[in-house]
Amino acid sequence: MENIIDVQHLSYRYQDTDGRPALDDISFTVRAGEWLALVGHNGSGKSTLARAVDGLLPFSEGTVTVGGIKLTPETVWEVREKIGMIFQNPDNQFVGATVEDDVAFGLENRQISRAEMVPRVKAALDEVGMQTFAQREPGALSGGQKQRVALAGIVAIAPDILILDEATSMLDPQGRRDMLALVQRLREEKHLTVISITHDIDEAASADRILVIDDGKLVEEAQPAEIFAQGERLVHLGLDVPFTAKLKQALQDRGITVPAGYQTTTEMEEWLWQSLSNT
Amino acid sequence: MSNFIFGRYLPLNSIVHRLDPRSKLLLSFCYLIVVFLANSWLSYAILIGFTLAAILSSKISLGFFLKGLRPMLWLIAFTVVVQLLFSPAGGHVYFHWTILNITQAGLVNSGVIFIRFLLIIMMSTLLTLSTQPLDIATGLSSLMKPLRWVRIPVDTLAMMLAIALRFVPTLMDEATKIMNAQRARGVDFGEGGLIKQAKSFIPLMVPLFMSAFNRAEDLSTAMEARGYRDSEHRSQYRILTWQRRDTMTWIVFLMVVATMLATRRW
Amino acid sequence: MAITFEHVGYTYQAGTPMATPALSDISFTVPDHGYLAIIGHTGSGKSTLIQQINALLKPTTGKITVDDFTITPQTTNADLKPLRRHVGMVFQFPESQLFEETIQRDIAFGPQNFGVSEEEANQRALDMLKTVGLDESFADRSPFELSGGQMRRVAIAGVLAMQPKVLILDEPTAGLDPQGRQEMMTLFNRLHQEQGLTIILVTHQMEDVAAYADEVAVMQAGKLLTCATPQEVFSDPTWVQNSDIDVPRAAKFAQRLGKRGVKWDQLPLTADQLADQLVQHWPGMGGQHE
Repeated sequence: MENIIDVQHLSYRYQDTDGRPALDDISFTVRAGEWLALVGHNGSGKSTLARAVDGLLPFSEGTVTVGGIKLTPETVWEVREKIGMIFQNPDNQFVGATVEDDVAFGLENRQISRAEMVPRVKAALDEVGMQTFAQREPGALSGGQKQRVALAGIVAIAPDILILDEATSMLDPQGRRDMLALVQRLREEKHLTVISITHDIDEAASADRILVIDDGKLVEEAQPAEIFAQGERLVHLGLDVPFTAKLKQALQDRGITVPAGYQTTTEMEEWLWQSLSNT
Repeated sequence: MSNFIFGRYLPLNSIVHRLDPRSKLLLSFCYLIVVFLANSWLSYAILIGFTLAAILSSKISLGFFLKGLRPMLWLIAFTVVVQLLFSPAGGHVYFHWTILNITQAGLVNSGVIFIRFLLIIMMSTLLTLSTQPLDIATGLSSLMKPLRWVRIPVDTLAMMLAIALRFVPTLMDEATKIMNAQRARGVDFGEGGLIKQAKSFIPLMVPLFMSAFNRAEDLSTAMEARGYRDSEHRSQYRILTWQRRDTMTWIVFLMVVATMLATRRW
Repeated sequence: MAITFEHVGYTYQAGTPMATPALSDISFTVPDHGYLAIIGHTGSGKSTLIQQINALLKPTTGKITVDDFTITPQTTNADLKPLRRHVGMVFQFPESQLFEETIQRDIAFGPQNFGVSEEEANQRALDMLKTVGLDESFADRSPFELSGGQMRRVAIAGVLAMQPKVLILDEPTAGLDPQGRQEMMTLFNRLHQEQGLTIILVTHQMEDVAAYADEVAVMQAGKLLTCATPQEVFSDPTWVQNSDIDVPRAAKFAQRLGKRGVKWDQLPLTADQLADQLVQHWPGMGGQHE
């Protein structure tokens, strides 16, 4: 499959005087339709990286190519047409006075006629299950509902790429699960390419591939199972430790040897049951 | 704060609520002029009748308006008393002491001032009670559209106003939260002398400004990511539609004005 | 400090048309040196509940006792200082309460409001910086230069500097990365163990409930569904299902094994508890002799 995003030798400094770059010579590609997770500590540079890809930061060195278009000050609006981005704080990206106004915001910016906007707003709200909230003001919504409205705003524009910049980190567990399920469904339906920046193990597990960013550098790139196999060390990569890894450690501390590698909960359950019945 | 009715929206379903905000804004403005044109008791009676009819058809209880008057009471009383004591001589003199006179003309004048105050406050309260702030903003920017020709960035101003309105409740929540946090750290808001009170606001205002700046930065990034370039090249989702009820309202209003003008002293 | 709620009810904007009941008939007790977790969905009344404990909100009905201090609907604001001195409150995203020019002055702000001398407060600030894992070099820096996680530590140090006996934590780890979360929860546990602080933790993290809390209060729509040990609360699958609460991953996993026929003496709530019991069942190990 073709690469929809191609980042080569990207470096960025917040200020010219900064000794250490926020992004340091980062190169990676994303295939069309792929789900890529970016993980790392808070402050590691992963959000900065996502912003650079969307042309929200004027990076000094390197190239970013999105859908065959090289990102320059001239092409930045063309590039942004292809990308929808959801940020961490649900309140600070809600522009409209009501839910429907907010969903329409992106369409208004693209000077879509009102006649076309009305059905698109409605369809987008249907898609995320927020149609009954169309007239509500943001104050009346939970964090999870606001993030779904943000998703509707992106669905209305129909970009190829969805970037989630810790979009679930301020939600409660229920809101997080709902949001993740919704993204998974939309991705199937719309054949979206997804980049998600996250600390959440379930969100990272949805990815095809994980990039680990530390101190502005790309330090690791592997499939989830391979990354998760690092067990307790994952905390230092900015990820939760999966439950199976914790259990494995606890068992090993008690003298029980567990097969190497990462096990899903089902695999772990199966293995334990086999071992226990093996008398 | 809670009994300060002026500037608060009361969601009800009445013809007044459903009027086009442009209609209501323009009408309130014209009403302001009309009130100053009235001069005979009969013309005032007609305007009072119109105002009461407008209030009744808004389904908002009169009590709300009277409660809303309370904070303005001192201003009204002061103006009326000044009018009463310092008006020029004319007619019967009821009371005289150095430069203070209570004359018949003074009584009439203060009565007139009182009624004008009342009418204008009632009507503008009706406007804000029956119209969402956002609709007022949309209506205002729509009415100001012609100012584009003199290079006033009407759309940008309208966008700023809409965002400000959108964030008022968010920042009010934030302020409550910060006040609570500082109370828990031993701050007494609204207690002690003036200097102590002023000082107690620093732990509230600094965090509130920091939060507002951070939100503004986040918001501008999010807006840019969503394709916002400038306010002039955008289409509009929220549109206002002038309906038959607006035309009807204006016809009634103009008829009232005509009758009022006919009964005024020329 | 022990805390007792007796039939506490709270209504927002009581006596107006906008009155909304937020808490009704809440009764429970947290013993001195206790560790209580409060769980429940967003909007279930958790935040309203904890604000009663230092009288930021006063009950509309009922009575709250914090040690020998009593809060009733009649309590006046003038009487609250001695209470608030002993009840430290860490709000959600507490970093938003920072305002001073230097970190040291911000941490010293609380104690000074409660009558501690400037010198003493400044010394406490330095001590608390260490407690939260920042060194003294931070003292003279502006709190606004720090990273989000560091700002949160400074805010918590500012609460700890008041030397409270009760520490109320409203989702203290929200928005932190996993390492930050772990360090934060370890810090609170240390304060609880070493200094005997009574802790009340509002959280969505069932793993933290299982790992640290003595008791867990479950809130739903302004009512207290139950207040019992995590073991009691999580062990009844039907009740858990009906109350719509999450269970710790270890418990969920153990229940799945349970369905296959593994017998648990007591439902394990953490990976360690699970492993302990698995060892008992393990062929050739623990208690299972053939």
